[in-house]
Amino acid sequence: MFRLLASRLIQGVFTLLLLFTLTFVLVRLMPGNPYVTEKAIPAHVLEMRKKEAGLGEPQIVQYGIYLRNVVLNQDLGILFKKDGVRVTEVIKSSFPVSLTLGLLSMGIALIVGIPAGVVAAVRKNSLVDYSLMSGAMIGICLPSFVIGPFLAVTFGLHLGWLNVAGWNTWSDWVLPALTLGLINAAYLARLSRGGMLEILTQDFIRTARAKGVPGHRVITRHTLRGGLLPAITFLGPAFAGMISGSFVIETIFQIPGMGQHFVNAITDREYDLIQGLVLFYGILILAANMAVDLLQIAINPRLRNAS
Amino acid sequence: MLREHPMPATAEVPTEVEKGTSLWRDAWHRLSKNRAAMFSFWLLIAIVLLSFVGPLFAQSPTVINMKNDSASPSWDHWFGTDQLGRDLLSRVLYGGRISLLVGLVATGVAVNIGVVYGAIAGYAGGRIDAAMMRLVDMLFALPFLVLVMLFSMVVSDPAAKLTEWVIETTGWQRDSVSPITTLVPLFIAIGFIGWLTIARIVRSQVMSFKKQEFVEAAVSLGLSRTRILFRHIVPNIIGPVIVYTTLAVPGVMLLEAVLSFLGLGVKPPNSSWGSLIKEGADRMETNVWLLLFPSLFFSTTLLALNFLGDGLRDALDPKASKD
Amino acid sequence: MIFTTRIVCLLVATLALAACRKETNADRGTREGVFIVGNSNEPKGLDPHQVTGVLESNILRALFEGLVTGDGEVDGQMNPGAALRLEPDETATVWTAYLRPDGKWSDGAELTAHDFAFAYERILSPKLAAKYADMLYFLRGAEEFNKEKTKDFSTVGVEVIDKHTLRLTLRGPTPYFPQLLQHYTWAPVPRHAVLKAGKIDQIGTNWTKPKAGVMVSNGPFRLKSWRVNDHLEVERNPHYWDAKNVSINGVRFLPISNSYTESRMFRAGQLHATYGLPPEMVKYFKANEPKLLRQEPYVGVLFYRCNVTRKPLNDPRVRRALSLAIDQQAIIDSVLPGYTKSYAMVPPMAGYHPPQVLKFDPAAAKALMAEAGFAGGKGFPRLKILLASKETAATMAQAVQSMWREHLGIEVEIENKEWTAYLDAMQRLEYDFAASGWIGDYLDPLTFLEMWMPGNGNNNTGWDNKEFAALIEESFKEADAAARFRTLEKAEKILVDEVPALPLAWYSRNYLLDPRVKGWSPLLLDNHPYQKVRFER
Repeated sequence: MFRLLASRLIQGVFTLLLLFTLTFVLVRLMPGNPYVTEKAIPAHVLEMRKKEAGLGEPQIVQYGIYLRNVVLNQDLGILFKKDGVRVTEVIKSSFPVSLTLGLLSMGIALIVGIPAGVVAAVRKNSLVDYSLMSGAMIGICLPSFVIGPFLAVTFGLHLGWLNVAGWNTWSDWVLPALTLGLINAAYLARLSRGGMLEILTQDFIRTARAKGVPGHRVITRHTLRGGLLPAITFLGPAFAGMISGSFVIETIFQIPGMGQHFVNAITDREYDLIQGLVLFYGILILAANMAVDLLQIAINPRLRNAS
Repeated sequence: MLREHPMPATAEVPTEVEKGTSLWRDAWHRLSKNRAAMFSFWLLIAIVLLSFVGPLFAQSPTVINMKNDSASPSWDHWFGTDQLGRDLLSRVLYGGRISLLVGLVATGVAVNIGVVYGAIAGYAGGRIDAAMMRLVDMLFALPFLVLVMLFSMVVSDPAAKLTEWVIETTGWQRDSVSPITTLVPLFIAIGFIGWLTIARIVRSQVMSFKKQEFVEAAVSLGLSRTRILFRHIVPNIIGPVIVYTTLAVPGVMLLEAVLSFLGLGVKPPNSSWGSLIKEGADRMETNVWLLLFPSLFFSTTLLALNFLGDGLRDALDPKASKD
Repeated sequence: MIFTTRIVCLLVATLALAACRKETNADRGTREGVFIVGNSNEPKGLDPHQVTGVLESNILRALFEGLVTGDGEVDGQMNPGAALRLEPDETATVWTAYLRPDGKWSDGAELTAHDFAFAYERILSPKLAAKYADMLYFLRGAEEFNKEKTKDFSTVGVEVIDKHTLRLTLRGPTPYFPQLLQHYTWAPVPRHAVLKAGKIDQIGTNWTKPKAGVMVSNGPFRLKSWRVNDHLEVERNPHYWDAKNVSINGVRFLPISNSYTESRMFRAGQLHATYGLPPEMVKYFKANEPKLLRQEPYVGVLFYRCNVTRKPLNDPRVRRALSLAIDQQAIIDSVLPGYTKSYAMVPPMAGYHPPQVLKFDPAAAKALMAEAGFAGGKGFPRLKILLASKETAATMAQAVQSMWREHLGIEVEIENKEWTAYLDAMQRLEYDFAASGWIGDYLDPLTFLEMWMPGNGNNNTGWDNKEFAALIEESFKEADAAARFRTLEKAEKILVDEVPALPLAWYSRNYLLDPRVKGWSPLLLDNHPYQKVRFER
C-alpha cells in the first residue's frame, strides 16, 4: 500500500513535469504573443514590456527560470496584460467558486444518478427502467449550452423564480449546479446500471438468491460494491473536470470560476497563466485519480494484491 | 447440474444437425433480435445518407436573405430559416456532414492508435508494458479541452497552408475543402488524447487472451509474435473495440459542439450541428426552430449510437445467455 | 428510492422558496440608487496609465476626473472638471489650467497641480512602458522623453506655476486640446498613494488595490468592491467637489461577455443597461418593446484594410473600383441595424465636412476596373478577406463577396482566424483584405486621420502617401480651428480618393436601457457622465 502510494507520487511528479514542458512548448507555438493589441503599442514600449516580463530571453532560459520559480517559490508567474496580478492570485480567487460549483454538482449527480442506475438495473426492462434511462439519455445527448440556457429561460425568465445569471446569493447556485449535476447524473446512471447488471447476471448472485437472501440485501451487500466500480472510475476525472470549472457553464451563468480564466488565458496568450492553470488542473486530476484508485482497492479486495 | 441420470429414452433426437456458426453470425443473430439496436442501426444509416446525399437535393445553405430571416417552417423552407434567412434544412444536412465526419474520423484515428498501442503493451507485458502504461497515465492528466484549443491554434496556420495545397493540387472547391482542413486540428488533438481509453481496454483484453490455449498453440507452432498478435488475438477483441467506438463517437461530437461554442470549431459560413445548436440556444426565445431541428438530429444520432453500442455489447458478450 | 424522493422534494421546496423573492436586482438598484450596467468584459486594470480599452474607460470615467469633463448632453462640449478655467494663448499652444482650490482626493488629501504633473511624468516614463503614452505626445518634448532621448522631464511642456495653476506647453497649435483632455490618459493620479506603493515608474504596483483602505481617486465615485469576472462596484465619493449634485449612490459594472446572456439578464431585471445587443434582438425589441431600445450614432467606422504592398491592390483604381462596388445600405440592412452609410472615413462631427466621395456606383466601378486592366474581372487574382471569427464580420464578408462577384466579376475568399492570430497577421501585413474598425479616442477628425500616416503603428496597410502626410503635418501648425478643419478635409480627400481602406459603415450603438434611468442622452463618444444619471421611479 505504501509502496503503491510512493510510486504513484513519483509518477505524479514526472507527469507534472511532462505537462509543464508540453504546455510551455505549445503556448509559445501559438501565433501571436501577449502584446498583440488592436490599437498598436509603440515599438519602444513593447520592447520595454517584453524585457520586464522576461520574454526577450531565449526560450530555454525562460523555461529554466519559470521552472525554478514554480518549484522553489511556488510562484506561478505573472499576467502580461494585467500589471501586478500574479497567477496564484487568480487561482486563489477563482478556485473556491469552481470548487463550490463542482461539489454541488457532484452532490446532485451522485444523489440522482446512482440510485437511478441501481433501480433501473434491479428492475431491468420494466417501465421504470426505460423511463429512467430515457431521462438519462437526455442528459447525455444534449450539450450543456442547451440545457443551461433552457433552465435559465424557464426558471429565470418565464417563471421568474431565479436569476438567469450571476453568483451572488445562494439561489444563484441552483441553476448552474443543476445543469452540470444532471448531465453527470445521466452518465452515472448509465454506468451504474451497466455495472450493476454485470454483477447481477453473475452466478454468485443467483446462488445468493437461491439461498434465500432477501432482495434488498442482495443489492446492498453483494452487488453494490462491484456494480458501482465503473461509476467510481468515471467519478475521478469527472470531479476534477467539474471543479476545474466548466467554461460553458461559467459563460452562460456569469460565474467567476476557473474555467473562464482557462479559456481567456489562451485567447490573451497569457503564457504563465495557462501554465499555472494546467499545472493546477494536473495536480487535481492526479489527486482525484489516486483517490479513486484507493477507493477501488478498498471496495474490491482482489485488486489489493495485484499491485 | 448432475449428469448421473441418463437421458430419458423418450427424448427426441434432433434430426437436423445444428449449423455451425461463427462468433460474428451469432452476434448478428442476437443483435437482430434487439429491436432498439436494429432500429438505431437503420436510423443511423438514414441519417448518414441524408447528410451526405441529401445536400445534393437541398437548397444552398449559405445564401443570405434578410427579408425572410428567423422564419418558421414553411413549404419553401421545411425547417424555417435562420437569423440571416438561410435555409435551415440544408444547413442541418450540410452540418451533419461535418459533425458525422468529425465523429467518425476522429474516433477512427483514436481507435487505430489505441488498438495498436494497447495490443503491443498487453502482449509484451513486463517492463515494456509498465513503461507504456506509465505514459498513458501521464497523458490522462492533461486537460483535454485546453489541449484541443492549444492545438487548434498551433495547427491553424499549417492547416491553412494545407488547404491551399489541396485546392491547388486537386482543384476542388474551397468551400468543400476548408471545412475539413480546418477540422484537422481537432482530429489531431483527439487523436493525441482520445486513444488512451481504448488502449487501456485493448491492453486488458489482450492480456487475458494471451493466457488462452490457442495462443500457446500458436506460439509452439513457431508463429511470429506480430502475426499472433494481429492475426489471432486482435480479431477476437474487436468486439469491445467496436462497442467502445460507437460509444466514443457521441463524446467526440459533443466535444465538437463545445468547440463551436468557444468559436474554435467550424467557422461561419460553414455549419456543424454543434455550431447550429449553439446559435439556436442563443436565440431560443426568438426562434425556437433554430434550436429544435439541429438538436433533434444531434440527439437522435447520439441516442442511436448509444443504443447500437449497447446492443452490440449485449450481442458480442459471450456470457449473454443462451440460457 | 425514498431517499431520492426526499431529495427531489427538498430541491423543489428550495426552488419555491427562492421564487418568493419579488424584487429584481434592477428594482433594488433603483431603490438604492445603484446603476447596474453590463460592461462586456473583465477590466484589465484600473490604472489610467496602464489600460487601453473602451470598457476600462467606462469605469475610469466614474473614478477619475481630468481638467475637463464631457457634457452629458452636448457632443464635444467640455465643462470645467478639476480645473475651473482653461485658458489658451493666442496660438492655442500654451494652455493654463486654474484648478479648483477645493479639489480633493477621495481620502481627503488636497488635489493640486503637482498631482497632474506627476501623472504626466509617470505615463511618459519609459520604464513604466505605458501602452497609451502616445496620447500625450501633444505635449512639447513628450515623445523625446518617452523614447528616452532625454532623461530630463523638465524639457517636457508641463509646468507647475503654483499649487493650483498648471501650464501645459504643446508641440504646436492645438485648438481642440479640450477634446483631448477628457480622455483618461490625461487624468491626475494621487501622487501620495502611488509613491506609497512603489516608485513613479514601477510597473505593477498595487496602488489600485491597496490592502488597507481603498483606491484613491478624484472622480464622482470611488472604488467599493471588485471581484474578478463577477462585478466591479463604485460608490459615491464624498470628497468630490460636486458631490451634492451627484444623484445616484453608485455604479455596478458587470463583465458579461456573452451578449445573449446579457439581454437575458436585462429581461430578467438584473441590469439597467446593456453594453450591446445582438442584431436579431434589435429587431425583436424594435417590434415588441421599442421604449427599451436605444440606437445611437457612435464615433467609429468599419472598413476593410487593403494591403497596398500586394498586386493588384497597389493600384488605387482597383481599390476605388472595389469601394464603388459595395452597396453599403444593403449590408447595413442585413447585418448592422442602426449603422449609417459612410461616404467618407471620418464620421460626422460638428463643423467638419468630409468630402462626399464614396458611394455605390457599379457602373463606375466596372469602368475603373477595366481601366486598370481587369475588364469583367478577367485576370484578377483570387484574393482573401481576413476576419476574426465574429458572426457579423463573416456575414458582412459574404455580402461583400457576392457584391464583388456580381458587379466586378471577381472572386474573393473568406479566411477566418482566431482573434490574436488575426491581429498578428494584420500587423504583419500577411493579408489581402482585413476586416477592421476604428473607434475615435476623442471628438476630432485627427484621431481618424493620423493613423494613416506612413509608419504609424495603426496604419497596417503599407500606404505611404507623402502629400497626405504633409497635409496632416500642416494641420499641426494651424491655430485657427476652422482653417485646421479645411486642411484636414483636404487630407481626407486624398484618403478617400486612394482608399487604402474601404469604409463600410459608421457605427451605431444598439443597447437596452431601463426607462427609469434619466440624465442619459445619446453621445457620439458614449462617454456618459455618471454623475448626471438619476433614477425616476
